[in-house]
Amino acid sequence: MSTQTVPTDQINGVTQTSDYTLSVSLATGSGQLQDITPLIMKFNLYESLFSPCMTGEMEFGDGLDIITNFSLNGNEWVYVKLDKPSLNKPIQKAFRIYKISNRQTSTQSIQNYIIHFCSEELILSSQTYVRKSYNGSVDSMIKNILNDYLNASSKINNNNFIKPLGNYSFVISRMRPFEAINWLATRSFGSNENLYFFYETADGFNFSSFENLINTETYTSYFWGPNIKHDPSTNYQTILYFKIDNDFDILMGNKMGQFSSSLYNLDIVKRTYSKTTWNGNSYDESRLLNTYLPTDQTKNRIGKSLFDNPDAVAKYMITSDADSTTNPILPQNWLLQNYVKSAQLRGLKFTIVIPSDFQIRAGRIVTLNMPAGVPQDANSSERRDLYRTGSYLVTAVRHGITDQISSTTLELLSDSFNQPLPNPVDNSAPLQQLKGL
Amino acid sequence: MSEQEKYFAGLDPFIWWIGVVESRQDPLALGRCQVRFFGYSNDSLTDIPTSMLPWAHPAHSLNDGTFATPKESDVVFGFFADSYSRQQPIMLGVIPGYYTNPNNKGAGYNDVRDDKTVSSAPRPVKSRQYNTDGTGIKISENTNTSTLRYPRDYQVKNASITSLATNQAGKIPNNSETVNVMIDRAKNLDTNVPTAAGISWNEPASPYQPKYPYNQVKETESGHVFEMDDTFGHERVSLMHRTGTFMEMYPDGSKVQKVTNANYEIVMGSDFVHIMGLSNKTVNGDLNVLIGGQCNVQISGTTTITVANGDINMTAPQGNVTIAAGQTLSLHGNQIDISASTSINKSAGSTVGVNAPGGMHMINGDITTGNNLSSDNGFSGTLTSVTGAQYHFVNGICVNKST
Repeated sequence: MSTQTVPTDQINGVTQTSDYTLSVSLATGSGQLQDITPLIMKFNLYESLFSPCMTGEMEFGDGLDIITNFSLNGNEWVYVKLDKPSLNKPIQKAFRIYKISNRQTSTQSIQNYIIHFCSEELILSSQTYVRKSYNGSVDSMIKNILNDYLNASSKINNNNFIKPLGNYSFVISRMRPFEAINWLATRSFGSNENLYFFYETADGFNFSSFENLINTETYTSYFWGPNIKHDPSTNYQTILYFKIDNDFDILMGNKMGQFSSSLYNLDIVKRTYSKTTWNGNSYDESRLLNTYLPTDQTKNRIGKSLFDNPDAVAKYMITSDADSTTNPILPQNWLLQNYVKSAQLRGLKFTIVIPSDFQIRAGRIVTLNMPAGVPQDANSSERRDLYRTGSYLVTAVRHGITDQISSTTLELLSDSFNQPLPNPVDNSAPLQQLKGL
Repeated sequence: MSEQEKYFAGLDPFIWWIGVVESRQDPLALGRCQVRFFGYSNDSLTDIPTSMLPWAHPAHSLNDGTFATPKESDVVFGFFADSYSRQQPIMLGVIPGYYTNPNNKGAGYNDVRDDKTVSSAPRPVKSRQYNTDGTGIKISENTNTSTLRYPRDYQVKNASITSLATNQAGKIPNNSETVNVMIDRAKNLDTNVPTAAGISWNEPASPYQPKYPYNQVKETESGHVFEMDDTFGHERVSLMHRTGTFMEMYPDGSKVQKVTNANYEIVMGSDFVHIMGLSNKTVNGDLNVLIGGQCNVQISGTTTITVANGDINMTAPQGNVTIAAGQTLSLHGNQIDISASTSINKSAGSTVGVNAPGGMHMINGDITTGNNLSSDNGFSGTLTSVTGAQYHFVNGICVNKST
């Protein structure tokens, strides 16, 4: 694989979907810069809402033995430039090599191996601990950690770095920088925001809430089905492959607090013991990706719906919020809310593969048109799953190049349906009979 | 850790810590301390100022009702009630050790109190002056705040526990910052105390000779000491104030109490004292006794009251004074004056004898007898009235009257 432009048939300036340009240069520890693109057999670049840094890997068929010739040992850099022909909106970023795996010979002169790389901040974070006190808003604390421990101030994406509520005082006691940031993000909340993500995309480091992300403009819509016409202008919206990773799972939902949960809190200063509950049905629809929760109010044999069992998840925290000298983020303000929203968001999980799109980022909102086996709309012959068709949050992106074909794999999550479920009928005779068995 | 155990106090991991107390000025007055944790924190006062350290909540002993906080530079240990978050430390105890390094207030894990805080904190006694003129003891204290942080210079290289527990008190020489109270006590025993009985006595020296680890000691920062010493042969209980006032019970059960300044004792109920042996009381100054009710004194033996210099005044302005003797009542004096606002009555079971070679003079008034003056009375002589009339008696019979 070389720095190349795969032949395309350009129609109205739009490239074919599998086209790409890739350039990878290796900066060795001795200061040499070597173009290694031709040796790459496979290339993957990852970003995820659940990962603080971008990572990637390259599979090599190497007849030059660059591992030995360049004394690779993990102190090298690779400079990656990934783009579509003629678009000139590349992902370009320098990464640190951190691992070589699967090294084996395929012929006497060819070695196969995988080089793993990541943003350097991930390595720096694994080399130090945060032992420091912080005052102020959570976003300012995170920025300070990025600056003080990772020297990454210039990589902050200020267009997507929001400020949660409140000013607090913390001593971070021996946490890795990204561990500390994740700890802070988990405890962040806004007036209408409960689930915060810290993550890196090709645009830099982001800190945003679920509620903030779902209020951004929808990036695009994706379609699947044999009747999608080959139209280069819509090819990027074609789903090449999809898989439903998670649909409903009541047991898992109970375990993760998807429906209802409770928090017992002991304040050791005030000597108060209190209980708060959070119902997954409490979120108004403005805080859902779509409109309707994918679970109804059907009652079980003891007369409770899924939302009426706060002990499904019972948490117990010890605090001292009466203390005027410190200002902790009280778990009543974030714990259950965060738990419920996280669980809800994992309720629907899809993986789709689309033609390579190097502009899409983790954190974008897309519309997924889900196929169905038969038409569900009496007024249309279109076979769409009316419930699962709707808005999804892109939580992970993988740009992959294999055998000179590029594609982008998206992990999509949603907390809701686009259509309401039918009203439950609890007292039907067959149902009552079954419940009695 | 399963999802169910996460964020559940008690089921989440038990994370413990060791740290150094840097402040005990708890604004909530609950005994909490700001602790800098080894490993979890660092010693940079810039990265983590003392004021930002989390407040470690104390776990008192089951014998609740006591209050004591660790002091700055004490090494304490405990656990985080909030596990991984490490924002809610609980203190379980103090770990003693040796003070290897002197104080460095520029770095964490030290006593980093500012001068203002130190200047109002407890300090030991630098010197004691035992005055025996009744004015009481005078002490001096160290006012140099730079030497009052822990460990103090004299504590470096020594154990962090009180030297009174380790029998070091007599072995550690006094220094520029403090003087050992046991040495002061030994040097300032009260000796040759005179008594009214003509004997004298001495303040017993303390049998203090603790053997580690048998002396249970509580010594406070300013120097108060409470000891319960189980050392074999030297069993003592001692309660001592920093000035040297103490109450100590000796191995034989004796109790010595010394007050180095004024002593006040108020009993709001009754007071019962039973002394089975003798009692000596020596008062160098005046003694004033005010009794609101009756006073009953029963003495089995001879009672001697000697006023070396001065008078004895006995008055009963609202009542009688009765002096009674089973044998002879003797009144001696260069001159005896008896006066009464109204009358003086004398009676004797047999006779009243007056032996006055200079004569007996009736200044005013008459003499009246209930009986005739008779020879049986044996009176011979002259009675002279203030008018000058003279009555001559011979064997009780008036034989002549002349004017």
